[in-house]
Amino acid sequence: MGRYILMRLAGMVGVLFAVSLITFFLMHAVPSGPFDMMAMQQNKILPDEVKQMLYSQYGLDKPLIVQYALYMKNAVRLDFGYSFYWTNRTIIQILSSQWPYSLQLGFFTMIFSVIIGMGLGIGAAIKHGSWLDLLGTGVSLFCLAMPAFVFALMLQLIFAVKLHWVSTAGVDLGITGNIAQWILPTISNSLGPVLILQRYTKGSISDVMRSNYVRTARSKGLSEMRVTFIHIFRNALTPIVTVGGPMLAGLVAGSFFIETIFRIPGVGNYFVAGVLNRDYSLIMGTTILWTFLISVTYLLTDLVYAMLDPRVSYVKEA
Amino acid sequence: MNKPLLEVKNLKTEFRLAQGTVHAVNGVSFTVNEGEVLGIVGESGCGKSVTALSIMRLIEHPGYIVGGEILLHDGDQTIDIAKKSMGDMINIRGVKMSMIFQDPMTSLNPVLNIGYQIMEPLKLHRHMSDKDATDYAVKLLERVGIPEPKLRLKEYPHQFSGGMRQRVMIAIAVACTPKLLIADEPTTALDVTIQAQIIDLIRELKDELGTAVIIITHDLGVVAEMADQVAVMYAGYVVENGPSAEIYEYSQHPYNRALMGSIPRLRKWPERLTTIEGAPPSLTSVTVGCPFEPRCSLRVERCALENPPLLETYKGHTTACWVAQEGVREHA
Amino acid sequence: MPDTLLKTVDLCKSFPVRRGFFGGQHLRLRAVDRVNVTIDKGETLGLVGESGCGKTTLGLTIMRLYEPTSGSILFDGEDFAKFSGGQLHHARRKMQMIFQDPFASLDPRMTVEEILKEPLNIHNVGTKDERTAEVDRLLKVTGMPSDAAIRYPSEFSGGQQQRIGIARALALQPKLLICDEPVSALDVSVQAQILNLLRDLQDQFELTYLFISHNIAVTAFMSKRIGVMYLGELVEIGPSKEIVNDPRHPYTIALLKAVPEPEPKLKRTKRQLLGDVPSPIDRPTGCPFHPRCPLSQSRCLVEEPELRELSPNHFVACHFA
Repeated sequence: MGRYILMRLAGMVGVLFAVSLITFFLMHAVPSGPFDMMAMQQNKILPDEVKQMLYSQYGLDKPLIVQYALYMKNAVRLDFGYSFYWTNRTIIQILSSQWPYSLQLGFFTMIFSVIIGMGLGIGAAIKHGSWLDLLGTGVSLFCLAMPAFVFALMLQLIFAVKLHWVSTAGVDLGITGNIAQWILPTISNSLGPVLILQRYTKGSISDVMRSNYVRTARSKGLSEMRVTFIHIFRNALTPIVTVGGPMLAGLVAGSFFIETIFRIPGVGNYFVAGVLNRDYSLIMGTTILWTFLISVTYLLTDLVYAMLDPRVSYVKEA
Repeated sequence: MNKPLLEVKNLKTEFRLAQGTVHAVNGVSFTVNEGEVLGIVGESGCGKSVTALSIMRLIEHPGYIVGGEILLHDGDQTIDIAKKSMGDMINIRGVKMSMIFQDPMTSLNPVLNIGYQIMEPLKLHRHMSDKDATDYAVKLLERVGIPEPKLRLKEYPHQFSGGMRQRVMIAIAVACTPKLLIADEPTTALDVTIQAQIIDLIRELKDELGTAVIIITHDLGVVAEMADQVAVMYAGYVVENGPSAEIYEYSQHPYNRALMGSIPRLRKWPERLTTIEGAPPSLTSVTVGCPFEPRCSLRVERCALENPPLLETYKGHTTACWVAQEGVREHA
Repeated sequence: MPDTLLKTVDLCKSFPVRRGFFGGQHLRLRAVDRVNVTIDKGETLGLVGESGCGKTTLGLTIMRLYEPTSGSILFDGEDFAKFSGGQLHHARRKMQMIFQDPFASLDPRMTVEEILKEPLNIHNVGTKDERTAEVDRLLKVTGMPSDAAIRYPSEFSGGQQQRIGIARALALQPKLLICDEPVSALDVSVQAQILNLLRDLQDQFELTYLFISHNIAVTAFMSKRIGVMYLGELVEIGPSKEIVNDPRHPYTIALLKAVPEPEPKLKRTKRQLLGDVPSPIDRPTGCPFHPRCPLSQSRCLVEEPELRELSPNHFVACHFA
């Protein structure tokens, strides 16, 4: 098993290199550079000589492959440089102060989606054909059809602008500030996760409920509680983990739309800013962070899966 | 030995489906005595499995038991299982009656180890401590022929072969020494040599523990090996019931006789096998008259009009047939 | 012998099994191990054994649905194993197969007529009208109603579906029909119908059958000779009556003792064959049966027994039978 983990980590390094390479070249393929955008914001155009000077100062005149090599040389020592836009802050500083916002959004979304999504799914499976089942289907259809950003804007419009239940001022980090500000972003961010969890939970539990070993469990004279929790749920969990894992990976990385609409200064928001500003180091840093987070989450999902299902083993037979 | 243990009286179970109501069990009656083996035979769709599941009250929506009594004589009391609530059934299943199923590959929980699954009924019904339950589980595994039982307690079902899993199922079923064991096609999914081992095991345990057994199968050979009494089912009815030797040598019901003639025997070499015209009836329609009448070569007018009840044609041997009751007892 | 239709010579089929990291060890699973069978024209050879014995694989290898690893398949005098291209395509007409699961072997989206016409279309047999007439004839011969042609397989019962499968196999007027567990998925009363049908067709069309089944009684009814397989090898082969009444190989003896017979008055003795049916991946050395054999001695661990003729036409692969 340790060997398996090492293999996966090695693979992860490979993925990081590949992603960073592709991103780097794509990034430079897009017209305009970091300074052009800054100038444009001040309604000026960067004169060529100034641009040349800036470029040589920052090493942007070197051949791309050399730039990439230099970047990676620093990156492996976890030095991701300074932002081109916010020139007095390092990438690490930016990401470490902004990522907690994304994390909090992701965390709240996860809790909300699990309660609503899995709750509806379990209800639908156990009380097949009841109002709970229909409600679950209705909610899922809604989540499927409604684009998250439209929903977010609608919520914002209704609850913040018209009803003034919450303000449009953005959020505070942590739980000591105005927690209510997190409600709308969490709900908007949950459309996708609720849909996935409701459908998979319902499907998984329905399948397991009808399986032969549940019938055996009942024939042993076990109570319904025991049958439900130990025999049904335990088995139903594995497919849910399979989809839940990647979903979680997406959540911890932050969401562009939601963060922008609700003015949450998370990684997603900063990434968008970085792209618009052609802030090369921020773009690279964020991409690498995301790739890392997603890979680790996938690995953890696989390990949890192996823990849950004894039939799955990553140890090859001798 | 001739004390009745289980009396099923006019049991009716139906399934309410979109296409119609399927009358899977249509008024089935039989008795199982203590320590005796009753074999229920029939082809697919005859209602034998549904009967067994009804006795254990494992029938779920859209299935419902709609009539009859299932009387279990437990010492001095008699309980009607058909009328018990699910809460009551918890104290009956696994303790007074247990069941083993057809497909050993899917009948055990894949994520729990074997020890846990065996010890569940021991801890719940017999209130054993962890240590006692573990020791007893090891003894059970040994008794059912699983080598190295201590080690295998920690293993998972997928690490066992089909025959081994069926043995584990048997161990679970007899853990609390039930008075009745229902075996639903326990050997159908197994190879012949493994099947023989399982049949032998069930017979031995039955003798040791004094358990009565209901064995359900479509294999007339298996029933001949195991059963003292045999009930033949067709289209949700019991059409013949009697001692094993009687049913085989002197079968009365035309369906049963045709069935006996249609099976190839190891050492008899007929030119052709007996076949039965047509197909079993659809269980959604409620028929008037004998359900076998459309396919019966011996039918008379009365057969299409009245459904014959089970009446005694010979000592201890009952048949549901108008023609047979008037006939003489002859060799099959 | 001029009457021999099929003869396999040391036919082998093995599959590579990858073990170890990065596919280190390459073991081979010997599913069919140097099998020699002969089937005469018009006769039925039965093949019995438990799961993993290789009987189905043997049938598929003879048909070249699996490519043989080594050995020859002499069909009507020529080595079928060496055919390719057009020659193979043409030769396939003479050898057909019917399968265990009647529903799974029929394309649910094709009508019965399309299913029966397909072989005729592929091999360009007859004119359009002749093919339609042939479909009618095939339906009649297998006891199916003539209006079956326009219907779909799902509209029929298991027994009828198997009749369609048989009709399809007969479309090209083959000489050899390999029947792989043709009645195992059917109810007892329907089994009898199909078995009778197969016997009638054999007489009517002078067919030769290889009848594969795990049910020995059914096989004995259908076959003149029976071969018993264990872990890919043929351990005993001989006339059906002899195999059933006087089995010589210890495995065959145990197998027959294990068959439950519908005779309640027979005295039952405890069957002695212990242990599980082994997996073909972990094949024992020497004689494949030695770990479970009551007669096994040290010779059996090292030396693989060859088939010896113990009585006329009755061969047994055992050192001590």
